[in-house]
Amino acid sequence: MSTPAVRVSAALIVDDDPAMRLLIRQTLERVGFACEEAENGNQALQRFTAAQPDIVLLDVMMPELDGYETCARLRAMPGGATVPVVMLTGLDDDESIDRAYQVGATDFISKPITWGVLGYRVRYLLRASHALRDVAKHQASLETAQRIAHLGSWDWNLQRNEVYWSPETFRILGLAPDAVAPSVDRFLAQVHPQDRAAAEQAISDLVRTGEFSGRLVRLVRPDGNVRHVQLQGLGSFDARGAVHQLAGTIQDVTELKEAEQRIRHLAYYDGATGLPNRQFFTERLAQALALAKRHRGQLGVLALDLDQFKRINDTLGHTAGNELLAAVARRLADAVREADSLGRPDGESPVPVEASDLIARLEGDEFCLLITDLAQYHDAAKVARRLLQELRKPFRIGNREMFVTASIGLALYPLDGEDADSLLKNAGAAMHFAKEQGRDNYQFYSRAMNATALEKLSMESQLRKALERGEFLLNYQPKIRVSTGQIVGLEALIRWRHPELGLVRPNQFIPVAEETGLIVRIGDWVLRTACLQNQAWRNAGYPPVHVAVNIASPHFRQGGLVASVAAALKESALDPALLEVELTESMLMHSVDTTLDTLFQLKDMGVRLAIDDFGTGYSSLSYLKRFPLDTLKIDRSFVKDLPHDAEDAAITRAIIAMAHSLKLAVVAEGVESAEQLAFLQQHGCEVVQGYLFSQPLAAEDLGALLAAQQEQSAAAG
Amino acid sequence: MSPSSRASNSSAAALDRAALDAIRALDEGGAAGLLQQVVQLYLESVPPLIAELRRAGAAGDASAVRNAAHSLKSSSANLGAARLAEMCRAIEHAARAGRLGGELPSADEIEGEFHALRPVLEREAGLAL
Repeated sequence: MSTPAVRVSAALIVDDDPAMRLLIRQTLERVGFACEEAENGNQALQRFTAAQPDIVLLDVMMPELDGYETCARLRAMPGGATVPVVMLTGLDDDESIDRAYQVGATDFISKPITWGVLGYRVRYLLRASHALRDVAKHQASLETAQRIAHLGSWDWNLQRNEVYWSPETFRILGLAPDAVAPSVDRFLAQVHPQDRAAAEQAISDLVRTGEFSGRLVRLVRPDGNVRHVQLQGLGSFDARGAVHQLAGTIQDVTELKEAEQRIRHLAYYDGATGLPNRQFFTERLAQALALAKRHRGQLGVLALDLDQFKRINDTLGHTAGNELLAAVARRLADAVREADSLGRPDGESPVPVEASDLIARLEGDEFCLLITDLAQYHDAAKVARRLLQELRKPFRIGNREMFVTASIGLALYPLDGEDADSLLKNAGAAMHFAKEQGRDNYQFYSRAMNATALEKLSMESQLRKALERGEFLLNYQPKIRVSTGQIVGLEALIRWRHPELGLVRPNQFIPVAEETGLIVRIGDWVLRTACLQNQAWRNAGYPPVHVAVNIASPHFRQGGLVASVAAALKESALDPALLEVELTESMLMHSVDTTLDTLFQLKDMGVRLAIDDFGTGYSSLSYLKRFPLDTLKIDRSFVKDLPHDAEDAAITRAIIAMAHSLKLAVVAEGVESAEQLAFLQQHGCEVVQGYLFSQPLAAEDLGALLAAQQEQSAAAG
Repeated sequence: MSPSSRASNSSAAALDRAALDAIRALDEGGAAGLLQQVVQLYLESVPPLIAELRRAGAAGDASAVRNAAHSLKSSSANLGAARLAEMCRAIEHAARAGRLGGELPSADEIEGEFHALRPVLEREAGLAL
């Protein structure tokens, strides 16, 4: 038979009287203590560490070191702070009792000792001490738990406005417990200014309703460190149902937040290239689509895959392959950023980041670009061309120079799909088609887009070549004075003779030339050529005729026109009065002040000014009066149905009358029938131009006409 | 003055046998061994204390007088030697205030009381032959 093992409590008995020690030992052993003895203070201190007693009974009056001093020193020893110390004092000695407590005694027992009670007394003291120790231990473990969880607790007595903060609460706030008195205002002062209103609201809600939970605010510690904390609180209610006491927690979740951000970054970015990943791309695409749907915008999704990347990887190894991918990613990102900033007109407010273009790495060597704010579908092709061009530049990986190309597929919203999945899928399909087409090119998902895009692309490069190769030429259409039948002027008309396509019509290439800016160089060429030709006819002795040149809007607006005209006149030595510049109504009305300036500069040179296609725009008559014009040209659309169409007839009559009253010459174009001619002549239009007299003619043919006219007039004269 | 006349100054009884009973009660089934030991220890400790009391008193060392009187008071009270304890208490208190001699019980009187008490204690503890 064995009894359960019970830890025997140990007592250290300190008394200089051996009889007393013996009696105390006897008493305590009877109630289950194991006893150690010491006969003076020094011995007690020596034995304390080894004996690790649960309780110390300490006589006051002892030689050498007395009980007070022993107690004080014992309290300072390791493990000595919490052990209960019972001092044995004389009953008659109040002073010694006071002193006993002062030096840290737990209790006292007066002598002579009542032996029957001593055992109970000591056992009780030990139990009380254990209870206190447990409380302290719970307190400590609670504090440790709070510290580990970065969870502080607080309570707030509303009636007395007393606030308590746990040590961890002080730590979270970055405040020293002995330097700062806890208060609600003090807490609010620590809250980030941007979150203060929310924190105040949360506190007033808590006071009113007795609960809130999960409010996140930022704190600014005195050292400037910003912490994210979560606040929770719960109130106790008094008998009338009012909140009178609040308690809650404050948890520092900064690390959690940071971890969340790291996780977010891991979840949304590709580690190898630092670019957004498929997840990020798909979410952003969905957002952009929602926005585009609301604003009826257009989007482009561009799928890009490196050509034969697997071969590069197999030949050079994965490390080089990964380096190349990262370099490609950087170059693509730079190209997109640059295009983005270049693409925005000056003065326009910068687009928010959410609306900017986004490049992502989907997987392997597959990249994807979201093009937002697509003004026209063809702009997507520009981006694709730019990316292909950027990738063609060599890459330096280690000390090796590498060349890569890519194939690009383009899918457009809303043309090729209305949701992220189908746009991505179709862009991918278009990309595979681009691979089939021999790589290093781009393809639209929609074949019709491909056709026009390719046509436009080749048109642009062909136009550049046309200037270099001299494929342009001018035809001249005569303007005839009706009264005499004589040629008084010519209109120079550009023609493009393509070596393979033959003659290309102006309405096929002029829009592309205008869009690409090539029109300015073409316009220069036309001016020069027309002036040189006219001067050549003068030199040949033909009668003087003015040659009219059509000016394109970009040429006029971009301000280089005056210089172009001056250069052409200088080079050809043509009399400026024999050059007429034809402008359209809409060009003149675009910006009246600069228009006036340009017109007067041209006028000052002695050049004639004509308004082409008159009646089709929205001319302000008062401006018309201020412009230094020489000629109005009645648009062919009015002439076409003369004289049967009453409206056209009325307009034509009005234009002729107005030209006369403004003392301007008036020319009708597109005159093809005798009836039209009769009407015009009847209403006072002196000069006409059209197939009735002559189609546009090559310079040689027109030269022959002029020569014939010269001979006629010579014969007549 | 005879020791008995001095001793009779104290109103306390020479021996309070209840104190001895309390000690006996601690020694259930111990065949009075505990009381014997305690009394033995007491009887051995007293003569050196009386000698110290005498020496210190002669030297005018109040602190030493006080300590010796305290120890003797304490151990005497423990064994119910009430009169001796009372005499020592008077000496201790006076010595604490720096007073020695005069009306206080002398070492001789303490010794006289102890000699009167000794056979009684020996008998109680079963130490007498």
